[in-house]
Amino acid sequence: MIGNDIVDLQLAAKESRINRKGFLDKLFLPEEKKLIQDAVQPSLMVWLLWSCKEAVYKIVNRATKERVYAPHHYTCQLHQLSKISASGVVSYQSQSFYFQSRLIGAAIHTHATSTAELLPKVKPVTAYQLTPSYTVLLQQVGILSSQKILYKDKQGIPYILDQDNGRLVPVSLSHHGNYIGVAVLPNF
Amino acid sequence: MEPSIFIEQIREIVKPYAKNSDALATMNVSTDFINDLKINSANLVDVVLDVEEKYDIVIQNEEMERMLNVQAAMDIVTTKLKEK
Repeated sequence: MIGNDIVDLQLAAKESRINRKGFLDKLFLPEEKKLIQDAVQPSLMVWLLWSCKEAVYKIVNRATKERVYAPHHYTCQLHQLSKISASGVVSYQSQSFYFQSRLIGAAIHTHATSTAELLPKVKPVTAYQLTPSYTVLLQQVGILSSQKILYKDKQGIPYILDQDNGRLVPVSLSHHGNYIGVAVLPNF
Repeated sequence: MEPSIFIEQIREIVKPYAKNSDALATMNVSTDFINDLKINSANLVDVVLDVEEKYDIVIQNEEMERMLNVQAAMDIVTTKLKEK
């Protein structure tokens, strides 16, 4: 299964005071706080780790349908980190999830999968739009067409519905500020 | 605590983070912070921290997990204030 999360870094800097007392303590575990402290740009590391937790939360939420605000249950480990990308593993209840993050423009876009094999196969799409619209973006990149439309089930979980054969393909949607992030399973 | 009093107090707390002003104006116990008020998930922790400061309480992680709507926040605050 797939999940994704996007953070508009300029908006995040405006919306959140990451230095306020208790902020990091409630969202991050000791080893993650160490990564933040040691980072060249601590705020960038905050949003990188946050996007990983959120992307994996979306996978878990898809499976369990349960809404829980428990960032401390998601442990991020970085296996690779450069100025423009990062990858690693997020553990949740002894299960491992795999993520790939990229710095695009002034945003961090992370997509995650439930198996390591699936990660390189996922197609992430990132866009900056003045009027953010998933439908417009997915039409532009050819994922949606006259017969393929965006569909959400009763719980609000999104899919691409092929109206010709009724086939549903999972898609993960994320939006923050002017940035939109999408992750689609291969062979949609 | 009277729900009406709590709703007024929590409305002031969430105001800076809520992106849906209509839902903020018509807030009730079943109002969901994320789905209705459109509070960013990264800002939900600010709501938790502001509630801690306002009522001088400490909200544990297990309690924060379910603090997704006004009713849950009121239950947590009421319980914590009784323990004082």
